[in-house]
Amino acid sequence: MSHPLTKPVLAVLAEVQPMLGLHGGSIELVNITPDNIVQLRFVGACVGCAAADITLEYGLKEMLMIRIEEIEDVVAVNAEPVTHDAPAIPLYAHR
Amino acid sequence: MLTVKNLHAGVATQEILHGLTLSAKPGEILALMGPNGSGKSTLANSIAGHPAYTVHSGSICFENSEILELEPEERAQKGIFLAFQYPASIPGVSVSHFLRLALNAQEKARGEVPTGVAPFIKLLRAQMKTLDIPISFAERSVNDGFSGGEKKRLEMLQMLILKPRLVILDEIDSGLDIDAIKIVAEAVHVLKAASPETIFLIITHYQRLLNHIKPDTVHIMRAGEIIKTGSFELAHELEKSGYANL
Repeated sequence: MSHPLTKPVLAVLAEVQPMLGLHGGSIELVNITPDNIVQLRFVGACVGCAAADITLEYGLKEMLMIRIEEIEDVVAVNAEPVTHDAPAIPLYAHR
Repeated sequence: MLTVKNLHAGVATQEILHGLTLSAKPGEILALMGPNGSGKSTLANSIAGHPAYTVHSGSICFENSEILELEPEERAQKGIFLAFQYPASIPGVSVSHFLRLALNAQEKARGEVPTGVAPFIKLLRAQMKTLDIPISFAERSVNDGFSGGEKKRLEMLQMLILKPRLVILDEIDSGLDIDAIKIVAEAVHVLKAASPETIFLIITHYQRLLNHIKPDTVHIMRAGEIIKTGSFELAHELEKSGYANL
């Protein structure tokens, strides 16, 4: 990915990773389109989480667009369909 | 059109305005001057619906409807905007969040589609450039640790984002340096160009701000009433001879 905004976008994402990590999730940069739309993918516990959209709309998008003037928009692209199967490693276990 | 008729208002049981009458046509810029305690801020707060102020009798009509029965936020939704003399800090709420939620709340109340995050940030960036506010302020908490000048600029930023139809600037120039006063005047001109019908009610002690804004009408208040009305020249006169000769 050789888009000129890749480096600054990754720097902002690195700043928010610890917060998402606390919730068992993470975010990846998928692509930046030629018209400067940043495409992100939530992973881990963020996938299917009801708060992920809010994190994107009211946190990440705002942060990225304030910090990097050239960005036109920030969208989430989820490659994997959301499933509600039991995770391989359970988040909690009943005795 | 703003029409204030025979307004008796004050704080708690103390009456400060004794039958004030005033009107402004769409697009008019009014300056309101007068010594301390003459009731200028009481008028501003009574129009905005500040809960600490009580209106005993009279009426305030804005764009053909009586607003005295409306809550402060309902008045704001009608396009009434008061820029504070001493803006409050809101730690934990970013400037960007605060302004977007304020704008979205007004848009929803008017039945409009709320501005999304991406177009909002673009609007915010443009207006912050107009006011010479660094974009980094968008991520800071509202007025938290801001200097006096920065707080006043943020008031002006709110005004440019919300595009009100009635703007009340209550001593916005107090404690401002010359450059900041020019920025306030510039903000007024930018809003006036975008919204020619907006009425401005500018409360000030000094001619300096008025030199940059050029009011259509100057009202002088004393002891809760308007005692003299004139053109911009009246402000010059006042600067020379003070209130004593009126």
